[in-house]
Amino acid sequence: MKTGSGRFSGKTVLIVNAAGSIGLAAARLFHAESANVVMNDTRGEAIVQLAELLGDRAWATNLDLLDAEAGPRLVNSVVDRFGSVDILVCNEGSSYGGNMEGITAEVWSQVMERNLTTVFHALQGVYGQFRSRGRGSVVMVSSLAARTGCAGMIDYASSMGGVLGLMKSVSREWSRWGVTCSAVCPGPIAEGDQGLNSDLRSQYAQTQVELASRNVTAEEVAKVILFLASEDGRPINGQAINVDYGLHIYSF
Amino acid sequence: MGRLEGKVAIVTGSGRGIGKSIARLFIEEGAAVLINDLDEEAAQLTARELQAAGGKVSVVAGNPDGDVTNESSCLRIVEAAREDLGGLHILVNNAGTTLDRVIHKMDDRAWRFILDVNLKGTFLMTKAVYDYFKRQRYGKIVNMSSMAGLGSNIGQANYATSKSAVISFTKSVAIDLAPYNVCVNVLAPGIIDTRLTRAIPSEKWESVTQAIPMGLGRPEHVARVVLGLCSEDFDYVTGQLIVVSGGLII
Repeated sequence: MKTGSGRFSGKTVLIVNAAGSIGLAAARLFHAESANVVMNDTRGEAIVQLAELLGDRAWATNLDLLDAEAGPRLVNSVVDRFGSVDILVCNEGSSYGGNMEGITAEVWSQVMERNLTTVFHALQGVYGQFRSRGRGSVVMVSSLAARTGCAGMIDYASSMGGVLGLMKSVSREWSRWGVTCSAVCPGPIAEGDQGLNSDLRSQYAQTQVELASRNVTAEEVAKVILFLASEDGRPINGQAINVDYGLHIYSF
Repeated sequence: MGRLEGKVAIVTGSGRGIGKSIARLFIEEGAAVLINDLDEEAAQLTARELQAAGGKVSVVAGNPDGDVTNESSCLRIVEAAREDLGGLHILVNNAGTTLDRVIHKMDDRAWRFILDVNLKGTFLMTKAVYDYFKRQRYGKIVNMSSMAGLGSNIGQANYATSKSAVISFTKSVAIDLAPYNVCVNVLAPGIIDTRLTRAIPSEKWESVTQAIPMGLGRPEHVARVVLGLCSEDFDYVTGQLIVVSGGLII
């Protein structure tokens, strides 16, 4: 594995909902920049394989963050292993229902639980670490769909809008303790699984992607996440950054 | 002739505050209104007042009948509007509440309760009118976000999350329903003088309200914008967020 500049030497990054393409890309890049990387997801295989590949300083965990107690438990185990948690990355969520007909009341609740409540519990988990150390960075992965709306993924787009409200809440509450919190809003990702089935992906592509010059890659999004979590990114707080090659211009 | 003559509207959470003001204004403009609130007594009081003023109303309220977090209740609310009032043209998803705690002290109950009422309630009511509005090729949906949905507040992680999600929800549904001539918009009220904002601690109240360039908002300020959106003046406006804050947010 290529080694970067060591920007995150001595830092420990916790990535939750890590098994998505952006989470995996972020894990690789943080690790290459010398960070300890913990990937948590109940969707096992990908993060286990990546942790084995990265070897030293990488760890895959599978706590279910739907459980409120899992947040503190996860953070405690990370602190036991690496000594601290310095950065929390809350990766993108999933879409289950798609259009309005497909979204039952149960599906709606499941999506909100998976995409919002897990993040809420992860935040509660890192609170003690960040507060006592007087420092910390949170980067959340929302979506361009939150800002533009997306008819084919109403559940997902709504939950990603919720992520932005949660992001600003963290910024409001924790800035005074030296914690910054921002979000990235990626456009459609060129590769990998966004939790979309192929019908939805092509629908999204037809309606929106053709307007932009190209799709963003998971690695390109991860690089912005690294920047926001780095020393250089600290003045950026409470903001959502579109990472989309300008796609948002077409539906401002 | 009133601006909503012949129209039937559902206004959730219309037992008091902004919802009640919307219902009253709609009645004044000729609409028939289904009054809904979890608080049955408040809903009945609103209904009696509006009936006394000559309005045509129906009431679905209390727990669980008036609970917008319950899917079958939402379906019954829509059914009641259609049967009792003869149709349905307007849905105002006004029901909402707060339960403030800082993140590290917020339990799951407070988190989920607010997401359920403010967000899932809006989703379920919207879903309940969806096919009807599509087939009718007419409908107006107005959702309530909040200033907190744009910038949050300390102690309102649950509320801000729900209200920012409502904005994205509105845009998504607006895209879906635009070809069917159904308008879906969202308001973000600033500080309006209601029971909800009066929960702001008294020591903060003065500084908060003094910061509003146009002074403390009244429910009528919001209701008039909702009326506008539901009138034919705004038939070509959909998917929009309108901030009603007296200059607090510019």
